[in-house]
Amino acid sequence: MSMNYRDFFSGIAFLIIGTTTAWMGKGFYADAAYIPIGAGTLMGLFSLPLIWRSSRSLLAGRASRQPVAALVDHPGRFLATLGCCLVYYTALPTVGFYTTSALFIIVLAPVLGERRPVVVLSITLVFITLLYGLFAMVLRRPLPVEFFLAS
Amino acid sequence: MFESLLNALPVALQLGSLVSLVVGTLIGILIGALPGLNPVMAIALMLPLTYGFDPIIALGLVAGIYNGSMYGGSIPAILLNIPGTPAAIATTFDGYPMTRKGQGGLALKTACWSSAIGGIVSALALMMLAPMLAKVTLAFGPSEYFWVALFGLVSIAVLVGKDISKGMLSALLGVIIGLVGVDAISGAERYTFGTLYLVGGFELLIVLIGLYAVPPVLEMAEKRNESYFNADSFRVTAGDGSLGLVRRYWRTWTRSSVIGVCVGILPGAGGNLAALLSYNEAKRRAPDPETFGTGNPVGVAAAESGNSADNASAMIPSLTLGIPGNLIAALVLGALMIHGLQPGPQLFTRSPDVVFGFMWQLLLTAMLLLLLGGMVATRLFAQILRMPTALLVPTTLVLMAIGIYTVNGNVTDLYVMLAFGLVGYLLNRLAFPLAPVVLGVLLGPMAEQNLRLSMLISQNDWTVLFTRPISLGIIALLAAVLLSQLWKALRQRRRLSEA
Amino acid sequence: MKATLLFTAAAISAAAFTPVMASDYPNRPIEIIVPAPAGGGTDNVARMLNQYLEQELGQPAAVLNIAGGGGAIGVNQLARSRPDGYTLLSTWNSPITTVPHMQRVQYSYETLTPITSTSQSAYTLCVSPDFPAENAEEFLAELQANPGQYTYGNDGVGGTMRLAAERIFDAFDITARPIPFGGAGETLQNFLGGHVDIYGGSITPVLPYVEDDQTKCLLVTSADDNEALPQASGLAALGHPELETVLWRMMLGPEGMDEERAEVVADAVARAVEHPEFRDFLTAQGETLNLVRGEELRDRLRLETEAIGETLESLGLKQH
Repeated sequence: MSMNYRDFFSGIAFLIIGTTTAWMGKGFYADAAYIPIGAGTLMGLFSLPLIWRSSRSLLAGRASRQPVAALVDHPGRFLATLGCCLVYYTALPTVGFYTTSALFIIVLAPVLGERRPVVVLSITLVFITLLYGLFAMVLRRPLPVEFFLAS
Repeated sequence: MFESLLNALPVALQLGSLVSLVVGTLIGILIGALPGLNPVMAIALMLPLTYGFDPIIALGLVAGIYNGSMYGGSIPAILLNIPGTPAAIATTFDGYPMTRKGQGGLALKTACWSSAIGGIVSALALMMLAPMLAKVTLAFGPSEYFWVALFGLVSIAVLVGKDISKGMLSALLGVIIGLVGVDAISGAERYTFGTLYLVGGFELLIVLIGLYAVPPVLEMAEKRNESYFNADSFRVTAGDGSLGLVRRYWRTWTRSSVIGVCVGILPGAGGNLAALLSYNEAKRRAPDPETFGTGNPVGVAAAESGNSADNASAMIPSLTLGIPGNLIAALVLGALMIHGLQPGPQLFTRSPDVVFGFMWQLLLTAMLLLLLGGMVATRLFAQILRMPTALLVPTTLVLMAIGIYTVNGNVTDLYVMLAFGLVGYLLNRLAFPLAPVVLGVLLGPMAEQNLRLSMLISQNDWTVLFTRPISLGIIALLAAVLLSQLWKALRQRRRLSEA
Repeated sequence: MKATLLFTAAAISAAAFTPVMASDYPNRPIEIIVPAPAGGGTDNVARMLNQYLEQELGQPAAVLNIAGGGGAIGVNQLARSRPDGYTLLSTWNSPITTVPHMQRVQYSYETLTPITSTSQSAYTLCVSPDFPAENAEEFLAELQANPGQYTYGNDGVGGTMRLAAERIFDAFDITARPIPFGGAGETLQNFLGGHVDIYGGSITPVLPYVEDDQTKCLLVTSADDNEALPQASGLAALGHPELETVLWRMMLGPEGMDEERAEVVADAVARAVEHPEFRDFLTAQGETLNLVRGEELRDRLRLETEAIGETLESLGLKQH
């Protein structure tokens, strides 16, 4: 997908966000509405040149001069990282901070290609110990309690 | 006044004070360098531990964490493209490209010197000019604040990116994100879609960490497992001696420090605005503006001296007037009260040793950065980069999780951070600049609230926006920036058509 | 790998580990939510009290500042937390008795567990030295004579300060224009810079300027006069003690918190406030001790919530 297509679709997306913002802003009380309407309208206006330029280039069949990187370089690793994050955040409050964090590192590192268990485990151990030192000993900030300690 | 200033020097040089300065600076660099952990949290958590000691020890710790974290934030910004603190956003623009070019060592050294110089200039401004600058703070009413916010927003949206309409769209996206939540003036909910979470609006720190720190981590996760940094990139070549740095950057440092001090005396603005404005100004003045963003060390020097120069000067309104310039200044005031010292104009006469001692401590910690900063950065953090990226990714994500969780103690914030991370990742790939989004979130509400406050005060008389002298000055500045940019664009077009 | 992990987890938590028993509450660190930003008035008092509370409870207590929504965001978070006594709230009255009339919230005075109130103080109205009034009567007369001309800075649209002022203005048939700022610090900045005519807010931030004769405070919103502000009159002196609206602070727990545990905390607070350093601190802040516990505290909250609801209704500000 060339940069022209991307510009075209992002232009359309901003046009939609802008008009929705302005349209919803209409319903706000008196002076609370000015900036929402203004910002939404401006966003719609600034999206027009983007749409115009990109659609003209697209219609003329001109190739974009900007170098284009893939939208996602490696979908597998990208999604795996996101998935692990979601599981991590969900488990955090019930399982406890230090346990979940240790598990998160131990699971995600091999997924991303680190296959030396000694390296993974030793770095995890050192890292979690340092965090414990910083948060429990120095800063004394309570974090989600470990499941085996909760009362 | 100068007598009390000199009398306070021995107080700041006591053994206890010196120890707290060194410890504070080290903790500050560490906290600043860990993305997600912020100095406000560190100071809020550390201060109660010092209640039993002399106030000067507590203040030494604050001074150290404050200045140390401002520099610490630049370390991951330079090495990993992840700003350690929001104020280090502008440091990533040229710092990270320098690392990729094998100049990581030089970038760190430049950042360290620039932070130290910015901090020193700011501390000197606090010592010499505090009462005078405090009057400036009071002269700024809602209409002046409105123009400051608009100036920051527009000039950065126009200057940061290559494409003006993309810059403006980014800035407006930020403004709209900033609108979410209960409106402080009318009390009405806006864009909350019936959810209770959105009633409070988006927390700035969560948006910033999401937009700026998550995308580089995701990009790192996509790379193959290898440590792509080699130790060579941290060698500083012979021509980059400290004197060379001073000779090369003194102009940039002076300009950025003045910008930083000016932003600092206005409560509510902050280090990231100072850094971005300094970066812009350096780019505008440079003979080679096109090299900015590709690893020009002047960009690092401008950003780091700008954000550090904000530090001590943000203490001016709090120490002279009792009005906190930022959250850290508010914590300092709180600590003084708990020690039985009443903030306000009498503080200078009633407890000069504490006030002037604190100023000396701010100066000393800025200097300490030169001693400790380079050592910590290269000996410790550069080693972390030898860690395989497959481990760097999850550990960084854990740090961000803990940092965001400690802001409000709310797990929902983590999902929101991740969502903003995806938005940032997408905007990156669509070639939209991120800095204007951040400024939109920060300055949009400031512009709106102050515009409406000035209308409330003047009973909807629009002329108040254009009749006050300070407002006119800012408007002139804004016009100058816009016109010079327009002129440059026109000239470039003419040159292109001639060629 | 599992064994290593369990070992790791056990090793790192060993320091925090103590056997769990119902009677030895608290046996681990407590978190105290303060629904205001770090460094503000509520935060300072909470942190000062916290120092002594930690000693009395024998466990560290960490203050967590959750600002925003006039305090509602922090209280919402408390309302959602586990009622095990390890998450408590240290708040002033506005988020409990005023904000629920203005915004949607997840709590009310009926659901939260009342522990104990701690101290109270009044709001004050101050003007610059050249203002044509030297006492409360002249001040009110000047406002009466010039309806809609003077602006007064206050803590925001749902804030108790504005309400306190509007109740008084209503009784004296005064129209002044409220300008909502983000807190007492911002109000003070705009007042000192001459951008608003009247300072409305807590007493502490403005005290140094009274001593310097840079401002004169003419009215306090409590029934009694305030020692720290000799030029100001209380509402009783003006013949309207029933208009009193004060700023008071309390500790609350989530719904369903064990009553024994609430008692433990209330007892600890009662002992903590006995420390002379805390007393001196309160005096310097212009606050007085005020300890009301349990159901009595809930009654006080109910009365205030109802009274404020009525005022808001008559002002046309009530939204929920």
